[in-house]
Amino acid sequence: MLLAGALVVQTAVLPQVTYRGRVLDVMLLLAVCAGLVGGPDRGAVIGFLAGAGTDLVVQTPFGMWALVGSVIGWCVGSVYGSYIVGGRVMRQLTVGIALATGTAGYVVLGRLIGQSFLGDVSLLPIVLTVAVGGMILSPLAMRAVAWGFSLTRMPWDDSQ
Amino acid sequence: MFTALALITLDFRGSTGIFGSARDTTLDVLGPVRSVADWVMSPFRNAWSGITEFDELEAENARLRLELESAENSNLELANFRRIVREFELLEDLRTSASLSERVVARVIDEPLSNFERTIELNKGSNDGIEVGMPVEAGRGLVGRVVQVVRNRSRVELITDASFGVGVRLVRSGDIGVARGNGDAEFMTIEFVKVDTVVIPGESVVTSGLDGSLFPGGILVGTVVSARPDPVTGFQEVDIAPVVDTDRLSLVQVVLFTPPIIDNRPVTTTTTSTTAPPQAETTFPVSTTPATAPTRTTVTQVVPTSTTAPPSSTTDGARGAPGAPPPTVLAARAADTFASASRIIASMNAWTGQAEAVE
Repeated sequence: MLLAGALVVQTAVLPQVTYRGRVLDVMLLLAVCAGLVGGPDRGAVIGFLAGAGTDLVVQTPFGMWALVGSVIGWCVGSVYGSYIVGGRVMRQLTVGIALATGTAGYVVLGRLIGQSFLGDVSLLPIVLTVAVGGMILSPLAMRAVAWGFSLTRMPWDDSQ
Repeated sequence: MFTALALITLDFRGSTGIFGSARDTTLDVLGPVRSVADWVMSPFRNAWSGITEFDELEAENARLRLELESAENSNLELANFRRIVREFELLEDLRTSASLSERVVARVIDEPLSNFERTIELNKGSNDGIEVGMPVEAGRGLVGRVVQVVRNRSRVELITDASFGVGVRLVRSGDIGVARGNGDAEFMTIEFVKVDTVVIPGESVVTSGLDGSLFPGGILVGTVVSARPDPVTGFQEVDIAPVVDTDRLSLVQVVLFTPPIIDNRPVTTTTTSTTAPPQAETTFPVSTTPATAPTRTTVTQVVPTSTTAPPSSTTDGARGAPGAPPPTVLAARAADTFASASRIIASMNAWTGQAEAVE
């Protein structure tokens, strides 16, 4: 349900609100937040499913976004909590960096498998838009992922 | 991760039936949702555009007012030119021209879904005769081509998409090249232009419509901005500005054009003679139109054929490279072209004489 709703938001709502033709990437944000909230395993699975949802609506080879989503979800889940700890600001920074890395990784993967046209676009504005927009939406996205996973407590919440 | 790699491998190996069906189904399912969202979000989108792009809109408004005043003054002259071009096209049976193809008007209902693709979605689909590969234009010029079609929706790859390419012709010099998008809405780049071709800023660029091209000839693509030599390829690279603003499209026209299928295989026939043993003759490639629905206008192009190929035991009948027409056929084609040019010049002289007589 959460993935379907995110796909609807990504395809029906976000294209209406763009900045100089750049659109936010809610599906990749979902993968990153899944890694933050659920750990590396859940991050990889949710990232794969979120990426596959994106692959359904784009024209590039099927599986590219699924691969990027699963890798990013797993990496964020592995790194945060073990090597990166901190409060809200650090989590948002982690989200921003992960989104930027995932977006750039998609271009690199595309060039590796022959989609060389991906390297012809202006990557920096796209990365900045996706990263900054994701950082702003990350608190809401993390709550949504926790609700979708039925988590009663965030992994970094030691109050209970 | 390995599942994702397997999916990528399957897609590359041509197992696109499943993935294509899944994508078409998704487009079908999400289509109505996106239409509703487009209707709901349009006031917010307009407000957002007004905030972020006010200066650009104001400048474009002023530019369009100026262009409209100039266009109104040249309407009569343009109508005369169109009549002349139409007469020449009919005279030379140039049926690949876009002006002779039917069109379907469609509304743009959604914007690009990804930061790496420049595509739009239309509210018409296969029920309206639209097929994958058909060119799309808007008013002044080329918008892109259809890449995905379902019953009531179709997705169009814009000319500014990084993976888009089209054969083009510089109007002034007649030189041809390949125009490619680069993800930038403001510029495209033409490659393989001869280095000794004089390229003038402001020169118009149209689709070439050559044999095998996916686009009919004569559709305006853009105007030249600058040119520079490419030391690696030995050609020129020409930057052009698209005539269509792909960021502000509302209505487009899908050109119901299907390119003719070029069969390059030589066809060997056998003739008999009372005085000589049977000799193999070879005819040369003809273009055929695909077996499409008769209710839709398709453009055809007849390539001159020749049966004067030299007798040869080889199936290609060529003296040069395999499959190449022999010099006699090339000479015949050159003669046909010269005769056509002579008829055009004679027609122009006749029209000019009539115009002077009227005055």
